Order: sequence, then structure tokens, then C-alpha cells
Amino acid sequence: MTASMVHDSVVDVGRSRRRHVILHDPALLLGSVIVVSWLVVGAFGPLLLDHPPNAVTPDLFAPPSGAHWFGTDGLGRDVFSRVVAGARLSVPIATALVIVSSLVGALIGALAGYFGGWIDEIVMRLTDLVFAFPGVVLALAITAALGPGLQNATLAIAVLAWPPYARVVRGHVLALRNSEFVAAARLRGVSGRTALRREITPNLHAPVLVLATVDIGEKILLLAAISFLGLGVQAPAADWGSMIGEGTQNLGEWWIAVFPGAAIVTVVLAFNIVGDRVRAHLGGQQADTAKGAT
Amino acid sequence: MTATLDRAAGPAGAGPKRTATRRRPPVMRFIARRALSTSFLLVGVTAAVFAVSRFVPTDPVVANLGTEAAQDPAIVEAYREKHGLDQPLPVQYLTYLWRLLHGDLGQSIQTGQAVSADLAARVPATVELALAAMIIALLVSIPLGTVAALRRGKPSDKAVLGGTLLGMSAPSFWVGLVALYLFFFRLGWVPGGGRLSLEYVPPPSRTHLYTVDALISGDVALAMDAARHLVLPAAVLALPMIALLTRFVRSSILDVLGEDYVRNARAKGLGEPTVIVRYVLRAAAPQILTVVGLALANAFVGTLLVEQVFSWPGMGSYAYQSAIRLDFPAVMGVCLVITVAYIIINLSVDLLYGVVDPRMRVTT
Repeated sequence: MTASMVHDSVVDVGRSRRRHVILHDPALLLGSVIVVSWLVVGAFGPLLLDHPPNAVTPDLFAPPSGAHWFGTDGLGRDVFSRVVAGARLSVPIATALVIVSSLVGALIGALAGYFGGWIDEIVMRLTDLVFAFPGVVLALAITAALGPGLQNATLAIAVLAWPPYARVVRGHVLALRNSEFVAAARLRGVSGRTALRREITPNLHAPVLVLATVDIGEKILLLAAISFLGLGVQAPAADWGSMIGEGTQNLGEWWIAVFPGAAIVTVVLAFNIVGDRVRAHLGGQQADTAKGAT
Repeated sequence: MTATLDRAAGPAGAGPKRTATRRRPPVMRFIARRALSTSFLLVGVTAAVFAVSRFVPTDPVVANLGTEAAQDPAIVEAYREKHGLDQPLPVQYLTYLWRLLHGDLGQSIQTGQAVSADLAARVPATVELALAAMIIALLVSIPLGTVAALRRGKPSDKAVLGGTLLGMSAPSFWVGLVALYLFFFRLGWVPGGGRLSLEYVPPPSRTHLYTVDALISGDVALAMDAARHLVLPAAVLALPMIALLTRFVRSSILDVLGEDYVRNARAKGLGEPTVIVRYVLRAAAPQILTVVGLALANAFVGTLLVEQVFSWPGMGSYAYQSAIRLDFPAVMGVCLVITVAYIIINLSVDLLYGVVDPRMRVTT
């Protein structure tokens, strides 16, 4: 009976319980449904549209009506089509961004925590440096330097996205490295690298997941902010943040900015609700400490 | 009172006593250590900004001289020499630092002026907005967080928590736009932007904050006009902060509510208001102090996205206009100034925290 066997059985119990959790938690269910709906809208919505999102028509600044549910903008483009098309950018990009940066950050943090020494020192000073910048400011500076565009904006956000994961994972690895079940594995003759992979890694899933769910919403907001500042998604692509930016020029035509903003609120709120519930279920108090600086 | 002392006495009183008699008092050592690590951080931040601005894909020579002049090797050589671009990178960095220390942030492409001069004209507006937002955020979030903590698990607590989630999910620039549409365009309750109505002249400058200056000079009508311009952008800027801080206050209070001395105070028969004010809020004070700093730091950063919507003539709208026109030196200048302000505010909070709560000196 080894420690890892005990551990595996604990994980299995958790997994089967978790499958039912989503049905018994109305808030989690609601949040997940909204998130999934937006992903579906992003995937299939643009195929079903009557008006192409970039089609310019002479029907300028038309208020919401039966023909144009969300009205039209200053170029006569259908705002509803553009909101639907925008779902294709923000949500999948932010999700992919968080998945990649959480894996990279977790890997860096795990190596720093497990091996310690100068690797740890360099990684921690780097995270200190990134945390010293307010998130929007660093993203703005990097995007401005690289040149405007969605690719560069994504790259800029990636630069500041990994450190929270590195910090949290490092902290857990430091604590787990000295725990009895890891010591037991090492005494069995398991190598350091294998111990890290087989004994420690399964215990890192919960804290990383807790951090990541809230992070997606945050990254959608950040991406929207950079596009609002004109440095992210470039015209004429339909993007929620840039649409709000266009709305600032035409205050009276409220529909241009209100609908894309409402889209952002619903999807970010859904991610935040899911994150909140995931934290409640997985007991993610520990994730709090590394946040706050973004 | 006893509560705070008892809590503080434990680890701090036992630990560093030996070292304290030999060396300087722990508070001084704590301050020195934090100040030192912050100066390293500032060097790191300036180095990072320098690196970002040096690795721009566009060649600064071509960008500043234009393609025609850049064809002539003599002109290019002269330009590189004049701006120190022929020096090795570490030397360039030191020159850059030296200029920064003298307040030289480079020249803005769109205004043609020194970025530092542009910013100096705009900082007071941003400070006024950020301070007002901080005050609003604290006035709302401290009572709201306290009430939510006291009613933990009840519908009102759940409503507050749900509201904070909503507040965190809305982009501030969008909220600003919607608020401006409603309260200015539809209802006409507030003016449409800027710091003052056209018929008013700015008050004589003492603090450069229009509301305060107008009150000092005794011009109530002017102060009212300035305040009417200030209230909506400040409230919008405060909104995400309120969401964050209410949660923070709530959990700080919850931590304290579980303590034995709170139960003891209640068992003694003290009234609930006395227990809350004298025992709970007092013990949670250091954490709430952190909230003040967080609020101010976030307010400065938030102005970046909110000012433009309200045509507020501060650093945020400057950053927006520079970003839109790809005015690189100006964007970097704003980023650097806001980051330094952010770091300094965080440092001051840490220091104050260490002074108020001795336990923190040991752990950090």
C-alpha cells in the first residue's frame, strides 16, 4: 500500500462526487450554461447570420428594429451580426490564452519550487517584476511597442498572464516536496523528476483550476480594454472592445456600444460565477494570495 | 484596544527581541528592507520599460528622421551619435536612467512637447479623479462589507456578493459610457464631460484640485460646478473597486468575528454596535488600511480607461490619445509614471501596515 495508491483513490472519490456537483449547484449550472452558449454562438452563430458582420449599407445609425435587432453603426453595419461575430474572437482567444499561460506558468513554478536554488530565485524575481506593473499598463506598453494588432495584444497579455500560476504552483510544490508521501516515494527509490510528475502534480490541479476559471473573465476584460484603446483588434474586424470604442464617438446612438458591452458583461460574469463556485467546491483559499496584482 | 494588543503581542513580541536589543529597532529594519527591495524593483521596472522601448520593431532612426533622411548614412550616423544610439546598451540604459531622474521622459510625437511637460499639466486632474473615486469606494465598501460579514449566508449577504461579481465583470469604460448616456444625455443631471463648465474659469491654484481650490477661494458656485463634473466619472471609476474591496472587507471582518475575544465581548453583554466598532473594526483596521492603498492604486490605473469617456483632461485620456495615434514616447511615459505611482502607493501601504501591525514585520 503506497502513498500514491491512497492518493489515487482519494482523487477517484473526488471525481465521482464532482460529476454531480454541477447539477446540485444552480449558480454553477447557470454560469456553465452561459459560457457554453457563448462558445456555441462563437462557433456556429456567424454561419446563420442574415447580414454579414462587415457589410456596409446606406442604412446608417438605424435604431434597433425588426430588420436590425441591435440597430446599425456609423457605416450601416448590423450591430447584432457584429456582436455575434465578436464572440468568435474574445471568448476562444481568452480561453486559449489562459490554458496556455496556466500550463507554462505551472511548469515554471513547479520547476522553481522543486529544484529551488538559482532557478527559483530568477523565476521569483521575474514574477515580482511583472507583479510590479499594473496589468493594463504593461499590456498597453508591450502592445504599443510591438505595434497594434490582435496577435501582439495576445502576446502582451501572455507575458503578464503566467506569473500568478508560477507563484501558486511554486508555493504548493514547496509545501508538498517536504510532505510524507513524497518522502516515502523518494525512499522507494523514485527519482526526483518522477516524484514531481507522479506524486506532486496531481495535487496541483485544484489550485490551478481555481485560478484559471476566474482568469478567463479577467483576460476577456483586458483584451477588450486594449481593443478599446485602439491597440488590439483592428478595423474592420468585429470585436466587442473596439465596438465600444466606436460608440464613444456617437453617444446618442446608444445601441452601438451598449450591446457589445452587455455581451462582455454576460460572458465575464458567467466565468466569474463558475470561478467562484469552483473555488467554493475545491476550497481554493490558497489561490487568493497570489492574485490581486493584475 | 486590548484585543489588538493581545493579537499583536504573540509572535512579534517573542521573536525578534534578541536581535532588537543588538541592532536598530525592528520597525526601522523593516522599513529599510522594504525600501531597498522597492528600489531594486524600480530599477527592474525602468530596465523593463527601456528594454521594451529598445526592441521596438520599427527603427527609431527611421521613425524620427523619415525614410528620405534615413537613406543618407551621414545623417543617420549623426543622429545615432546625438541620441547616444551608437553606445553599448548598458550605457544607453544608464543615460536613459539619468534622463529619467531629471524628469526627461522624451518627446511626444503628437504634441511635439516634452512628455514630462504634457503629463505635468494633466497629473492634477487624474489625482483629483482618483482621490474622489477612492473616497467613494471606501465610503461604500467598508459599510457594505461589514454588513455582509455580519449577515453571512443570509439573502442580503448573497445579494452583496452577487453584486460584487457583477461589478467585477463590467468593463469600466462601458459602464462610463452607459452612465454618461443615462445621466447626461437622457436625464441631464450631470454635465457632459471635462472638469468645468465653459462659463467658469479655473480657481487660483493651490492644490491644483479644482474642487478644493474653489472652496479655499470661497467660490461655492465654482466648487459645485467642479463637483458636478467630478461625481459621475469618480463613481464609475469607483465601481470595480467597490466590488473588489467589499469582498476584501467582508473576509477581513469574518476573520475577526471568529475570534474568542469577540465572543467574550458579546458574552459580557456589550451591545452589538460596541462590539462591532470597538472590537471587530479595530482589529480588522490594519487589513482595511491595505484596502485604502489598494483602492488608490487601482484608481490610478483605472483612470487609463475611464477618463477618455468623460473627456477628463488627465493622464488617462492622454494615454488614450497617444495610443490611438501610436505616439510611442507618450505611451511609455504614462505607463512609467502610473507604474511608479502604483509601486510607491503599495510600498507606503506595506510600511504603514508594518507600523500598525507588528506581526507583519516578522513575516515579510
